[in-house]
Amino acid sequence: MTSYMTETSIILYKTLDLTGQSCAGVVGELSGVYEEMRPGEYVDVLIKSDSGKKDILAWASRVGARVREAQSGGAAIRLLVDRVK
Amino acid sequence: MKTIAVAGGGIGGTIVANRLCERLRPEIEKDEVKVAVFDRSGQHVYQPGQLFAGFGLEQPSDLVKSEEQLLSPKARLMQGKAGEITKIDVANHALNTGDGKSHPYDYLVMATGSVLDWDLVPGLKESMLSVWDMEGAQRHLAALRGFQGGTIVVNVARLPHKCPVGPLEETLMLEDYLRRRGLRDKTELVYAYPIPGVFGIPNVNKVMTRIYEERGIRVVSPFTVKAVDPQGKTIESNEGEKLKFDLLLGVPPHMGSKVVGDSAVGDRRNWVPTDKFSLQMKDHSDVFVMGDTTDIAISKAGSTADFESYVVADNVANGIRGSDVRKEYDGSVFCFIATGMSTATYIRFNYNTPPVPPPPSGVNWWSKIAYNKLYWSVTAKAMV
Ligand SMILES: Cc1cc2nc3c(=O)[nH]c(=O)nc-3n(C[C@H](O)[C@H](O)[C@H](O)COP(=O)(O)OP(=O)(O)OC[C@H]3O[C@@H](n4cnc5c(N)ncnc54)[C@H](O)[C@@H]3O)c2cc1C
Repeated sequence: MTSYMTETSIILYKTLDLTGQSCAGVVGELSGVYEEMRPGEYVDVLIKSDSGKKDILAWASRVGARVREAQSGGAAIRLLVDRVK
Repeated sequence: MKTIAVAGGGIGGTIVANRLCERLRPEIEKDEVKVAVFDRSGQHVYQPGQLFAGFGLEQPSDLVKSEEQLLSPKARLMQGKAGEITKIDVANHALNTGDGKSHPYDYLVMATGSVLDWDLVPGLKESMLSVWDMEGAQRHLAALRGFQGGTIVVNVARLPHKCPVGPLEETLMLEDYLRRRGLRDKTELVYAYPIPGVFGIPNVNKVMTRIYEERGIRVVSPFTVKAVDPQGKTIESNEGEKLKFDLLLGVPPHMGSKVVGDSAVGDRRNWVPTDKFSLQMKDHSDVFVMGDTTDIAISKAGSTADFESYVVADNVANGIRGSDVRKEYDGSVFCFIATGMSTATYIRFNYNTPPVPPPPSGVNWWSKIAYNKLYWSVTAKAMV
């Protein structure tokens, strides 16, 4: 990991609602968006299941993304995925 | 007079325009409403047929018709320079076109689709034969006809792309095609996919992975292509794998239409931010977005555009009539999946209900063919 920005300097790139069925799956949809992001940006992801969360964490450790969990205010799981490099 | 502008006369734009003409027939006949479709080419391509053309099962000429033939006579078609949208000006509620004119609208439906972004991956364009464009489908067929054995890699460069089940179909049709030609024993078939498995929806992935195993197709995933060496005939991934190929087939990266970027109405890949239920462009209630153009996490497919067209047409018509009744899109998608040259299965799902593909059968194959044939006379014309 290169020089890391502070929490406050991270900018929201977009929110991604992955609670519905999608052919690309949560990792397919997220990886497409991640590639568009610049270091210092994050994507706010909503997912429905723990298995989706597990898949995202496995993907994040492969590509070097940082994942933070946040309150979703509903039944969905909310993850903040940071692009750090 | 109220104007509904439809940007793009592909699958989504044509179906929604025809549906709007039907819903708003009395208003159009009284000259109170106008439906104008803008498409630069004036030619309507039925892209799903390109997969079949790549295997010699369709004539490319049968996949193209003039847009005029498909559109309701009640719609006005703007084509050529007059149909080439140069700017989507949502702030001023107008479309600018290549002939220098500006066209104000009361409602806009954006259906400008997606394009192939070959340049994202060095060496890809020189190496990959792809049925995702018409010319590529013809080269795909020629290459298959000349193929005598070796390694074929089917690669999906990036997600999302249009027709997410297409790579499964291409691989399984290819496997069958090679068997029928007596080349299966002389061919290693490799499927290199950017996410773990062969498909994104877990239970479809499970069914398809089993079929791939039974048919001896090697799966390399996750495999996110970084570069292709056209001379050395190797394809390399961000994950650090390098595969040799004699033939490279598959799907190049996709992005939204250039005019979306030029008009600054999309994200960095030119997908337009869209509410997944109302299909309205975010922060613009007079703009609806459908088909490949949206940034919704849903299949980019003709069937998606078709399902969405009911919602968009009803909501625009209700808006025109001053009614506040609104429909919501439930995420419906239906796709046949060819599992060979004479069998198929299908998936039908929505946001909340995952698909359960039935066992592949000949009946599903013929249904897929019938669906393709009926496109011109039924689906495109919004007869149902
Ligand atoms: C090989 C293949 C197989 C497929 N198989 C299936 C299948 O089995 N089932 C299925 O449901 N889907 C399938 N699809 C996907 C389907 O074809 C697309 O998802 C569908 O065409 C999307 O419709 P659309 O209206 O969003 O875009 P399109 O149909 O691509 O139409 C976009 C239109 O906008 C026009 N346009 C773009 N920019 C401008 C501009 N600046 N000015 C004017 N006009 C413009 C273009 O000329 C085009 O006519 C397949 C696609 C491929 C390539």
